Amino acid sequence: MSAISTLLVDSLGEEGAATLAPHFERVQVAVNEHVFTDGQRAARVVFVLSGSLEAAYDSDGSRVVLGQVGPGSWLGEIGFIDWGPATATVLATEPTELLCIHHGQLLALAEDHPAAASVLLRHITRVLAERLQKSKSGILRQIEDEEFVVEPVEQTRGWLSRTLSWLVGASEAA
Amino acid sequence: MSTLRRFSLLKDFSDADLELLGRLMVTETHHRGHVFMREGAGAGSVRSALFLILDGTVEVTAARPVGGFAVRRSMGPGDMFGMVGLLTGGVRSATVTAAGQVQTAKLEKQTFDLLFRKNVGLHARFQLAVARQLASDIRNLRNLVKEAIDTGDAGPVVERFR
Repeated sequence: MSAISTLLVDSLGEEGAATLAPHFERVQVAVNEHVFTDGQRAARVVFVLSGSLEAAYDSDGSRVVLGQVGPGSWLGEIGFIDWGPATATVLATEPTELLCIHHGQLLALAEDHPAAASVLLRHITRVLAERLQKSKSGILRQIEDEEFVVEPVEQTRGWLSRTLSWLVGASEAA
Repeated sequence: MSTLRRFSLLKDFSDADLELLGRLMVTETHHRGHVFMREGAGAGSVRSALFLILDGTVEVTAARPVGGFAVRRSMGPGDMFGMVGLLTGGVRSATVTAAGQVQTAKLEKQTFDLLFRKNVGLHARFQLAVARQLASDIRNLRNLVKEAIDTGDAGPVVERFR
């Protein structure tokens, strides 16, 4: 990578960004191109440098938008770590530039560039812990009122969708 | 070493890794009411630590959005807490208190940070194990929430958190 993005420095700190930057691949994404497809394996973590993406999921054949994701956001941490299927569909709504690291690089990174692996894993751990905490707190806020009663389906789907957007990182739009 | 293998986070670690981790840990006994960590406190201090529960029970409490405090859950032998704070230095999300006499194995943050210089492979494997645990927790919750959206029934989500 020729120059270290200031967005990456904001996200990882100067030392972390400098350590990890040489290991990223820079990728251009066209409008409507999928970066992740819900349910399909996409074992890479991406950092959004520019452009805009939309996170969504399919429910009963309809596409439900969870939120926009913009520059400075990270996506794909879960599949990157567990090599499982994507947790949402993410596609570009503008020409978008990403930095990517693939799951396959992780073990090599840990062996050959442990400082870089450590920066990445520490960051991912922090992001996942924050998402989990925010989601759990949101659910508790919703249900912990002693007078919680079953709401109409659309209202229920509203707060559940909000929770889902927190879980998949779609609410971290810049 | 066999004691450490009982902890799900450590089950795939090699004998050599567990032996080294065991040497770095300190076994302690605490009495009822001892506060291991407090909600809202910074986890980045040198006194931060990961705790493995060897014997006894702890209670995890957190402030309720509607006021007061609630017991979120109890943890016992085979459970651990403090792993995220050990790695990220974030703010504690809950208070953990001994419910009776509790025996723990403690890995201090300062010791864990030194491990990066002494055995970087083990340090990375530990980070990866914690990240995998969090990814699994998020994936399970995501699937539960997604199913609730599809069916329009929040019941299973509410049950999980009550």
